[in-house]
Amino acid sequence: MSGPARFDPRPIGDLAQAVRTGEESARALAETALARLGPADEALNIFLASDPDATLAAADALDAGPGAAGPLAGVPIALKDNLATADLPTTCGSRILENFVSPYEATVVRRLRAAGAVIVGKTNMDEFAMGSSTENSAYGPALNPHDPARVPGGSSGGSAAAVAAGVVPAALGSETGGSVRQPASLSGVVGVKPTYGRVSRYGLVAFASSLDQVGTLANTVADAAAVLEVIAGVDPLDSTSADVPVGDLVGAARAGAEEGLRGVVIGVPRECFGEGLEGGVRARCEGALEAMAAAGAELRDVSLPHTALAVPTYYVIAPAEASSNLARYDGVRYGPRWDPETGLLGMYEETRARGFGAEVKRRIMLGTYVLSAGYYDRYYSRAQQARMRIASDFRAAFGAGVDAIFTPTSPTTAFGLGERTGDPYRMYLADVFTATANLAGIPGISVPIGFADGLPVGGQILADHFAEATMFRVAAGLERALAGGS
Amino acid sequence: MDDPSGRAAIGRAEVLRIARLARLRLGDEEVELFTRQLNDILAHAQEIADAEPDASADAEPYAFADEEPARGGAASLRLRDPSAQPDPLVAGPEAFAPAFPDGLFAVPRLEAMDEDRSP
Repeated sequence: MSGPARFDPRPIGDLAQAVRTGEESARALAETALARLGPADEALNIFLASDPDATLAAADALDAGPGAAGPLAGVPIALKDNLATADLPTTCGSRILENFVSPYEATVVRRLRAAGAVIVGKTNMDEFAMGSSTENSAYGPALNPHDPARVPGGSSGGSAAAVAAGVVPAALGSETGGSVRQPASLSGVVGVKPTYGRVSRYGLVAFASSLDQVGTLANTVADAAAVLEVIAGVDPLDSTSADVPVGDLVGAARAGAEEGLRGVVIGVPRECFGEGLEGGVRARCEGALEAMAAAGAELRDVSLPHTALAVPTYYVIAPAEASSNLARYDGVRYGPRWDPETGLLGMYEETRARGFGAEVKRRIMLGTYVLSAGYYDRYYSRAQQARMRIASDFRAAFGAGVDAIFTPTSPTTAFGLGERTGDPYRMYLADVFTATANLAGIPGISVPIGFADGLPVGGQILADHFAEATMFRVAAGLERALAGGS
Repeated sequence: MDDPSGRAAIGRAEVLRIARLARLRLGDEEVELFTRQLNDILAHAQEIADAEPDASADAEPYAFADEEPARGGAASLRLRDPSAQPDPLVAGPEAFAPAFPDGLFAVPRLEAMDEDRSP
C-alpha cells in the first residue's frame, strides 16, 4: 500500500530550480496547493487558517521579481499554528488565542519567505502542542489521510497530514517530546527534530523552553534537509540558538542515497525493542535493520539503560516549564477576557478556565504541583537528574564509536480517534522512543519504513549533537535501501 | 498530603490549592477528574522521585560547540546580545489586548483583588 499521492514527484530542489528558470511559475505551484487545500481540509480538518489571495499575491510577486532566486523559490509550505505570522492568525489550537494575529513573525517564517517559499496556511495542532494525536485542538481533531478514522499523530498532526495528503511538499512543525517525528511516523512522511539550538525559537510560542525546537516535515529525507538548511542557523534574537555551521545537509542526504552506508556504524538499543512494541512495527524495524546492513552498515548493540525513565521525566519537566510559560495567558495582554466584574483574580481564573482545554489544564496543574514547596526536590530536581542520565546514555553510545542509533519512532501505528483520550498516561506513552532525544538535546529523524495492516510505520535515526549531516546521510541511505537500491 | 509510605497522594483539597496557585477555576467534575488523573500520572513518576539524589547528574544536558557543557542554575543561562533588536511590530497592543484605553493595559480594580483574597 502506498497511501495518498504526494504534492509532486520532483524533489523540492528541482521544483525551486524550475521556478528560478521560468520553466514553472510560483503561481502554478500555489494554485495546485490551494486547489488541494480545500478538499483535504474538509475531509481531514488539517488547516486552521489560510488566505488564498495573499498566497497567490506572494507567488505572483516571486514570479515578477528577483525573489525567485531563493533555494525554495515558489515552494508551497504549510506552518504549524504555533509559529508567529503577521498575516494569518496564530492560535496554537487554543480558544485563548482565538483570532490572535501576531504583531511580528517568527525567524523561521522570515527565513522561509526570504528563500522564496510561499506560505499556504497554518495547520491544526494539539492545543499549545500538548498531545500526541491532534485530538486536543480546540478546533476539532485532525484526521489521518491514510485512514480518517485514525489520528495523524501529534502535536504537529496537521502539518504531517498536509504533507501526507499532497497539499504541500513540506511543512514546519515543532517538537517538545516527539511532536514532529511521531506524527510523521503515523502519517507516513519524513519528520526531523534538529539539535536543540540548531533552529531559532524566536516566534515559536513557548511550551517547554528547554525542550522546544522547530522541525521539518516532507515526503523525502532530502526534501526535509532542504527546508532545514534554510531555517537553521544562529539567530541573535534567540540566545539558545547555537553558532555552529549548518553544513551541506542536502549534500549529506545525496551522499547517503548514492554511496550507501558502507563504513557507517548503527547502534541498536535493545531497550527499544522490548514489550509494548506492536508486532507489525517490530517486523518493519527488523526489515529496516536488514536493509541498512545490506547497504553496508555495521549494526552494533548499544545500551540506553535509562530509556524507561524518559516518559516520566518528560512529563515532570515539560509541564513544569509549561506552567510557567502559560502564565502569560491571563486576559490582560492577549485574546479574550471573561468575567472582569469578579475582580482581578476572578478574571484571571475564569479566562484561563474557559480559554484552556482539559489537557492544557492538566499539564498546568501537574507542573504547578511539581514546582510547589515540598515537591520540587522530590519530582523536579530528580527529573532533572534523570534527564542527565538519559543524556549520558547517548554520550556513552556515541563516544564508543556509533555514528547513529536506530529505534522505532512510535511503538504503534496510528490509533483510532478517541481510543486514548480517557487515559492520559497511555497517550503519553506514544512519546517513549522520541522524548529521549528532546531531553538530551540531540537530533532525530523519522523515516517511513513500510506499512503494517495498511498503516504507515516510521523508523527513527538519532545522531550526536549538531551531527545533522550524519543523520541525513544515514536516513537517506535507509530510505534508498528500502526503495530497493543499496 | 502524603500517605504512610511517604509517597505523595493528592486529594481534593490539594487539587484546589494547586488550581488556585495556577489561577485556574475548576468545576466539580474537573476537580474529581484531575484528582484521579494527577495521582495516576505521578504514580508513574515515582521511580524518579524514589531515586537517590545524585549531585553528579546536575549538569545541563546541552552541548554548545563553543562552550564547555554548562552547569545547571542561573549561571548557565546565556543572555541575548543586547544590540539585537526585534523586528518592529506591525500592530500595537490595541490590536490584540482585551482592553487598552489611553495606551494602557486595563485590568479590574485592585480593590477587587483584595476582596478575592478574603476567606
